Amino acid sequence: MADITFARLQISYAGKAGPFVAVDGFEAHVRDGEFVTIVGPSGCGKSSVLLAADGLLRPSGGQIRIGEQVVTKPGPDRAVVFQDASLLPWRTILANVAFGLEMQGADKTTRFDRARHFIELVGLSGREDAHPHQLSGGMRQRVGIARALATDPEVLLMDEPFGALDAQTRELMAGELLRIWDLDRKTVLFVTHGIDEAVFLSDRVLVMGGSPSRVVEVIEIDLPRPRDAAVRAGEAFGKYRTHLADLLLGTAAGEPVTP
Amino acid sequence: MTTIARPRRRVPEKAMPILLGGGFLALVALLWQIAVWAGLVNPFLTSSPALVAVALVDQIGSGLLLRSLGRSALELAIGFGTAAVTGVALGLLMGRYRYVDYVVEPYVWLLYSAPVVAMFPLLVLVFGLGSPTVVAIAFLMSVVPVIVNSAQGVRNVDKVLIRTAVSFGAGETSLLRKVLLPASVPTVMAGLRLGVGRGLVGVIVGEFFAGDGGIGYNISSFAGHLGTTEVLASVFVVVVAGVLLNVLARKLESLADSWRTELP
Amino acid sequence: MTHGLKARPPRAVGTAPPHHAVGLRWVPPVRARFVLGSVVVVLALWQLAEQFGVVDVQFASTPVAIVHAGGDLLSSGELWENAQTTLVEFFAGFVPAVVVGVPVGMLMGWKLRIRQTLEPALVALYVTPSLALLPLVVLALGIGEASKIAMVFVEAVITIAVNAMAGIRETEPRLVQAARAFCAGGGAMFGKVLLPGALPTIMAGLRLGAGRGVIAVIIAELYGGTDGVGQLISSYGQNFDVAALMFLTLVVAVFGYAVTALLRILGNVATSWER
Repeated sequence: MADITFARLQISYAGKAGPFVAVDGFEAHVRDGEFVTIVGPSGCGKSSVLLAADGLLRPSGGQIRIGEQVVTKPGPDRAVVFQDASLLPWRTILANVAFGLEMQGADKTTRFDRARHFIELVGLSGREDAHPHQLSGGMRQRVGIARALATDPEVLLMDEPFGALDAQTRELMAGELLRIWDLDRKTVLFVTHGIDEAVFLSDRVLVMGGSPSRVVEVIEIDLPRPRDAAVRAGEAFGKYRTHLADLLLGTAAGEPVTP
Repeated sequence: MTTIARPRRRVPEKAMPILLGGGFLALVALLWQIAVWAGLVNPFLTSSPALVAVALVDQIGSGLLLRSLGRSALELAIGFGTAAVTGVALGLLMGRYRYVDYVVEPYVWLLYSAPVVAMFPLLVLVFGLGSPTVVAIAFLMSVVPVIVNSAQGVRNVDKVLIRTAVSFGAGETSLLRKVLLPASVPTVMAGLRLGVGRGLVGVIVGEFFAGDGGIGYNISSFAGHLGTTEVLASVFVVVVAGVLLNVLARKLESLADSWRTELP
Repeated sequence: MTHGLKARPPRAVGTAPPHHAVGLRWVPPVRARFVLGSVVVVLALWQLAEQFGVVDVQFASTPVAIVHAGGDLLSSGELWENAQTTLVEFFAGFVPAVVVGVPVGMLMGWKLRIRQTLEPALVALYVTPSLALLPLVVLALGIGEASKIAMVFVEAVITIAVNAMAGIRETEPRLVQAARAFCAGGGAMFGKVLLPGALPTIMAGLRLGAGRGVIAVIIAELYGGTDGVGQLISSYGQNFDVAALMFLTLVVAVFGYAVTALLRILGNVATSWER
């Protein structure tokens, strides 16, 4: 079972005047196969929660469990899609997508076959031999997604993956992501500051706020899947969006936002 | 750029650097030659381009030039070669592990600021007169920029790439091999280029003091016999060697960069 | 599944900033302690190795012997006397190198035709060891002070000119266009735009030139001379007085570092006026 449990999670950073607690008492549970989004004002520590779930960041308190397993370090059951795609600039797209498998010790044939499959899946067939700098931001992010999927993780952790893209590409990518996710419904934890994106993608939205921040509200998004432009244009979508926007505005204005 | 399109343009712009730069060198040589012919200067003291050319031909004919060049080249190859290997290895460690950095830092600094050649009596004591000491001087001189640049290269690797690799389960060795090393190739190569330049200085000057053969030794021993022409001929060879080495190093730099992008 | 994950263990949060948690470096205040510790340990081991006869005293000397040799050199006035000669030679070569190198380099950066004319010659000298000219210079100018001054000048002026040229060329495209748009004349352009823009690179050139100049004066004195620190090194070296040799080499290293540090401070002051 690849569900994620956050139990009294606390994250602090070293500040100039001693440790600074950014996240405290973060409680959440992401069910197996669920698509959950974390939203919150910038600087609330939502990315840190995600990185902690990958094991890239050690929490100062509480714990994160994948199934029964407590997270202490990155593992093959999880893969991250980073905000800036963070591809190795000297590698071709094929070699970049194969990178995760390579780190996990897969042999060359396996990893290149799998890489080709996922390049096709994200719609980049024919660009296998290109280098990252030859691709647009959206295409690079597709490569980032393909790289994560190629390792066949049980949990996909996405750290504002579309944050650097223009609005139109962003919408397109969200649709693409859902199409791919629908194929095998991995557990996804998705961090964003885009309200539309959160509503469109998620089964549930965790809203972070407060200082130190925590989950202040959980919103079930009861919209039919597969989701398309019609869903986006619907009345229910608008309601969710308004509610979420009000909440975020409230958390941003009502309580001090963490620096 | 200060170039302004002129109405009449007889010389193509591309030819200008060669024309002006080459012309300047030719002019200097010509004026020098004329001064000798006109008896303005004493050729015994100042030599002349013609005399230097003749001396060069003589040195080539007698096999002295090739033999000395081979000797110096071998010293440089060994000195710089070992410096490249140890320098890159040490630099990578220093760039990756800050404790190694702190512990080694003072000695690298010392090696950089100290006149290494001045230590030649000590080196002669240890290695004996001749090529071994010259190799040691070349090594000590060329290793510094290689270390410093390699360390800097690793330090400057995008932290995001390191984080990504760790997230995908990269161990320390694959992190080094697949991320840190390829990412720092340009900086490391620049360090190697600087290193080979300093290595050449080390070989030439090392041969002045501790050599028993090679171009630097020739320069010094010709000078001891007041052979200005022979000295100039050897210096000319050193200049050509220096320029060629630099060109070669720059070629390798761009080659390494494209090879890096081709890496599977 | 095994994945051989041997990444560095995540550091305890509370000591490391967030994105530096795993496998990344952070700059701590322990640096000075480690540098100092390293030096102390090496010196102690060196001394002990000697004490227990692991290495030959004649080859390696000892830290204590080096300090003694240094004390003798200082108290006899021998070092100071020779250092004066070296200092005079160094500055007599370095100052003219600045005075000539900076304007020539800047002019080369500014005027395309001048650059095209002089660049091949300058670059050829820059990438070749100009110390190779040492025997020639001694042949021409004798073993007196003149040849040392000339060597410092040659070594420094090339580095300084190359950097001044690079400084101007880096500045030019960015700022000159803007200045042109405000109809700045040649003089104003040079003084108000090019010089300030190129100053950091020019100062870097001075530092490099000074470093090379220090080495040049020592090696020139080493090659042949009657006094100066290099000559002192040479005479102690010939007697295989390793302790004195090492002390003097250290002195030169410290002097080279001091000049470089001084120029760095000067450069910081100069560029801070511009901001």
